[in-house]
Amino acid sequence: MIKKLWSYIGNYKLLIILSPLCVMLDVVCELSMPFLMGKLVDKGIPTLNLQYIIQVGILMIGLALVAMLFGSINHKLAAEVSQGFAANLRQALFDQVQSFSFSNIDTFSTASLVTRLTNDVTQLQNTLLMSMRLLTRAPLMLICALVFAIAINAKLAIILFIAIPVLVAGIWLIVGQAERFFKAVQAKIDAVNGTVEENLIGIRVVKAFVREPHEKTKFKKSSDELSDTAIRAGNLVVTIMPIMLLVLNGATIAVIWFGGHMVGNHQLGTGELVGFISYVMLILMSVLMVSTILMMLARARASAERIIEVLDTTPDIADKQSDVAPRAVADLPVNAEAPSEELAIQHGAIEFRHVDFKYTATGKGENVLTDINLTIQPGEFVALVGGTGSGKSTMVSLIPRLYDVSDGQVLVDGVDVRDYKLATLRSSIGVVLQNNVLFSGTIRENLMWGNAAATQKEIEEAAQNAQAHDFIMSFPNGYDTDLGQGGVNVSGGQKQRLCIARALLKKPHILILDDSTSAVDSATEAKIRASFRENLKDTTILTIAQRISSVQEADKIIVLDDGRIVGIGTHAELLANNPAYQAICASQMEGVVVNG
Amino acid sequence: MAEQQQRPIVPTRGTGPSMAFQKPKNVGATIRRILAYFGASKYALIVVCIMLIISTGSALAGSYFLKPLVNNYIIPGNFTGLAGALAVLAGIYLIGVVASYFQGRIMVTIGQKTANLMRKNLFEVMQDLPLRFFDTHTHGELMSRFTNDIDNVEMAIEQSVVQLIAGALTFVGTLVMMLVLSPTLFAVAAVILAFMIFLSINLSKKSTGYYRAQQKSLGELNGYIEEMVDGLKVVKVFGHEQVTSSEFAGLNEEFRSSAATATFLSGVVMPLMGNLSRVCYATVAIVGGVLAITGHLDTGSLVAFLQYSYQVGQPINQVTNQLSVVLAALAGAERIFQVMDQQAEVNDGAVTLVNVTYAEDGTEDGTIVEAPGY
Repeated sequence: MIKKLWSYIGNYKLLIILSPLCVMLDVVCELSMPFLMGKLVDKGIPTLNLQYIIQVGILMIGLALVAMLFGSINHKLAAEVSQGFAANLRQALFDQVQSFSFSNIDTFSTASLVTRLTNDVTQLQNTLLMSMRLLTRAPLMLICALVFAIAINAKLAIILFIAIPVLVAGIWLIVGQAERFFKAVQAKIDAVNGTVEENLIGIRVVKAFVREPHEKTKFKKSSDELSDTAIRAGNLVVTIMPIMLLVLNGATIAVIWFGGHMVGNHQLGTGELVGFISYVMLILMSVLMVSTILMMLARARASAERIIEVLDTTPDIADKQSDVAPRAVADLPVNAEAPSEELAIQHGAIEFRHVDFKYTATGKGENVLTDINLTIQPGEFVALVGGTGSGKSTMVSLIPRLYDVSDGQVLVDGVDVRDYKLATLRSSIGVVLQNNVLFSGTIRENLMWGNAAATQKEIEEAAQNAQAHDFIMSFPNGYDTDLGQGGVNVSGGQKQRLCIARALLKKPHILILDDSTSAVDSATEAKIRASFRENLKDTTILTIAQRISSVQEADKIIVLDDGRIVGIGTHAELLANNPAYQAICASQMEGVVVNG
Repeated sequence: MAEQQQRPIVPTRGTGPSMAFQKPKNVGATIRRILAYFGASKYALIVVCIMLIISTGSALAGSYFLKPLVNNYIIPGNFTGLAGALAVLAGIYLIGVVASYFQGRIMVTIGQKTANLMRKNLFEVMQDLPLRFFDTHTHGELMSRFTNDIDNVEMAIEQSVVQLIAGALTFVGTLVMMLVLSPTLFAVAAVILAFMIFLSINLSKKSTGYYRAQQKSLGELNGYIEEMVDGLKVVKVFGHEQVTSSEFAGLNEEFRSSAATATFLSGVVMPLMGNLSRVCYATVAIVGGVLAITGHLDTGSLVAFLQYSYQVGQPINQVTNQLSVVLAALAGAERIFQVMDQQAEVNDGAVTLVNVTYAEDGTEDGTIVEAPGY
């Protein structure tokens, strides 16, 4: 794990090696102070040697300044290295996530990917920062202070060799106990967060069914449980400080008692005795510090594992050769060498040959699509209908390789989609996804995702075809209207039309519209269809729609049921002899009757 | 040495207090409102304050005790007297340990109970808020009220407040003890101490500015991450991976450079203060040595004074560190209260929809038209 993360230290490796050196100089200088003070008091004062006192004193000031210098340098190193490491890691994660296929994204869920990119990276950054500050410092301090203590008086140091194990044992016991409680606390935290999240997502349902009182009781219970467990864990943790004080104070008293006798016998100076007491404190404190660091490292482990999980995931859709070639850290699959350089889509013919599909992300499971066979001519307007879960979205997403077939083949212009360069394939296919997203920025910036070099004329043309131009122009800033994060400044129907315009700007050979006019009113939708007929004659269009009115005029309607094609034909043909299609139409007519 | 009081890390739900640096807007009102959640525990606070004074006093007394121990017993070689004095010292220490234990326990209970009460209250209020509220706030934003913000409040109550007060008490106590032991040495130490406080204030002012810059670019970075991961499928469909990757690299680098400076500035206080304490220690040793030679100071007072000066910078660090945690917690509490202050949904009767059609445009301002009557 450390080896894996180490590579993200990158060009900070030299700095990270310098850090322990700085710490060592810092610690040695800092810890020599009580020793020198002992000398000053015991040798300088009784002999009235002013020169000695000043010499030792100035040496001490000098050492403190050296310690300050190297301590500060180490803090600089720690800050630079930890933030640099975090930046490298964040970039690698971001690029990795960018190379993920749709099924990779589904496996992790976007929320969890965001957490890994933000919280987990910060956690590791903090751990590295604290490690560089303390990981070498605490043990060095322990050793150094012990050496100085022994140098002052070896016999007196025996007390330390009793005190240290007692403290270690005490901390060990508490931490061991506390760890179990912490796990319980974590579980309760997850429960509380789960309830909150569930309620935020399902707030409409909660309100519709007046479940608020029930939810409140449920939350109260899990919150109380969390509080109780956390108090028990906390009560254990707060015993560490008193135990530390107990051992420290006990050792101090023992040192004064035995050391006092030694002073009486002239085996020890008063200054040395006081210096020794300082070392007792420093030593026991560093023991506590070591234990804190160890616990911190244990905590960081979880974050590290979650990050490595992302980094170790191989994107399951990539250009053919890049599967074999080892990828550089910041390399994206689109950069990888193309399997077939010049292969391009010219016409937009589509063919499904014995296609089976199951979602690997969700485990083995059943086929979502079974034995799909279909041929679509260039320029055809094809509609897919069928109930929820019948596999419509899945079917169209196989064309731009958002998912790969489990069995069979999808061909575009007679070539297996897996033989195209991903970039080529996707640049020729315009997809308007069901859950579509606009990004912060202006309308123009968003539309230009389709074509970064688009002229104003091209942009307006695309917007006109998507029936978006008029409402865009109704905004005071027109195409320069700021959409806000996630496009919150436009309505659902306007958003869908912008998404269509964005896809049209690609001038794709194939256009896939996955339920992308659901929030657009019927009249506007009809206008969109009309302008498509007029201006996109050569574009193969696949549309998924709920309303029969949206698909009536299609050249070909595909009826899907439970992952199988149960009918292909025009509206009239299907209405005449396809029971599944008839059922769909009947259900919608019913609705009309009721509404009317 | 500022790490010495650091509590072993306990599971936290969020990114911890270091992530949030927002200035609370109305400190007084927010504190009063948090105190309301303490309920009957408010009176336990008085006990905690007494415990705090006892434990701090016990720690300070330990060093002061060196003076009589050295002067009256060790140097003259009076070991029966030493045994008695040590017994008294042991008693003082023991009282300090007990006080520190109970003070810790009480604060854990108060912290957790307060957090629990706030959490439950927040949930209840949230359940009664109109849907409009949930549409205009992201889930992540609301979740972080329950995680980060509540966590910060809890952590602040449990440790920071106590450490803040303990640090201040220790500092004042140390100064008083130094003054009592030797006014002349105190004058020497005071010069260096004044410089330390001056430096500490200036550094924290400077680092606050950098911290703001860091938080700003962190906000931008995290916002970008959220947006692009949320829209990842769109990024892929448009083959926009390289564009987003290089945009991200820009934001990432911006954050790295501001964060590195902010982290350095907030960290460098430690070696500076710690070693300035040592400079103070050495200076006191020289001046004290001279005073001792000329017979103006006894050895016991000198060594006790030195013990105080060795760590004199530590409480300054402690106070400045904890102050930022407490401020972050107060800012978090304000955000929580802000949600609580939202207008709840008014349920004043039934709503009946009769013959209503509305524009299917999906526009928010979709005109509502009455259908032609029967």
